[in-house]
Amino acid sequence: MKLDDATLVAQCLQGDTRAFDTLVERYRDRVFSLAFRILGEASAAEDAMQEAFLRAYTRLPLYDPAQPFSTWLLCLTARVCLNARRDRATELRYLEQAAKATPPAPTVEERLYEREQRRTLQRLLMRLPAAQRTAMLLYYYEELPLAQVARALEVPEGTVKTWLYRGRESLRRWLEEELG
Amino acid sequence: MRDDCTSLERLLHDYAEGWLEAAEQGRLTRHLEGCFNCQEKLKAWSAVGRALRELPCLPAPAPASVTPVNEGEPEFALRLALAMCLPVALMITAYSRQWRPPEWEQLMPYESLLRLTERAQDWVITLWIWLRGVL
Ligand SMILES: [Zn+2]
Repeated sequence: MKLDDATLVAQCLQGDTRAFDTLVERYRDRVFSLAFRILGEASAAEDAMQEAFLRAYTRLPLYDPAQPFSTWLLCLTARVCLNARRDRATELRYLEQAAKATPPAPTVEERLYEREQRRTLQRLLMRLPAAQRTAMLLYYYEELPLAQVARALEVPEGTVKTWLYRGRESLRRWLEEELG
Repeated sequence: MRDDCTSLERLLHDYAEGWLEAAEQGRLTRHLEGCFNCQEKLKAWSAVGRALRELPCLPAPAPASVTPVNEGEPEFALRLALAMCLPVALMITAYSRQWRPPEWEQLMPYESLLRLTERAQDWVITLWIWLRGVL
């Protein structure tokens, strides 16, 4: 029987760690995808995914069941990603890692992401400022309501509207340039 | 593009999202009826929105830790042990008979073997993407 998110969260709060494993299994692809699309790199996205689930676990008592668990988790993921970007130390670590000679042969997964990155849209998304990109992804890709996006990014709704407008106009212009 | 189109652009975006007050909404509708440029821009924006919505979900890499043997299923451990027996038996046999693999180099040159593996990897990736789309 497939338990719904609310039941699993309740079980988890009663100390059943397996319930949380089920939630992780259910959302890991979605959390990873969002992180990858914000950060543009598989290893950084993987770290962000770990951090997001860890934070979700420790902050679960603060979760308000009035909103869907997925919304809460994805907003939390977006914040983790934006913080990771601001964290210069982390960025430097990735640069160091990237600079290391002879990287190991890419696995099937890594080749998948490389292929994805070569796709125009993801590449153009990375040209947008991080906050604008995150707003675009939460609103269009995750289809979260405007108010949720504003709360997740800790800015007024008007700012999100402006970001969405600018982001969409930039993408339209770049896509037209690229595709002729 | 007409002069007022540029000044209307931001409003046009809010119009597309349904964020405008009724009065402004009406004003934009009237403008749109006679403006090909703004109609085209709306179409292009909605195409961008659609492209973002349709970005595929990516498979997260497998957890680094080895999947623990489930205590609730003793069968799994048994199956694993049996599955391990075959390669171990083969290894012992091979070692005891000083067995060596046949001359691979003659059967299939290294270069073509490499090319074949690369193509096989591409097939696996394609199959993977297709399977994720279907499931
Ligand atoms: Zn116009």
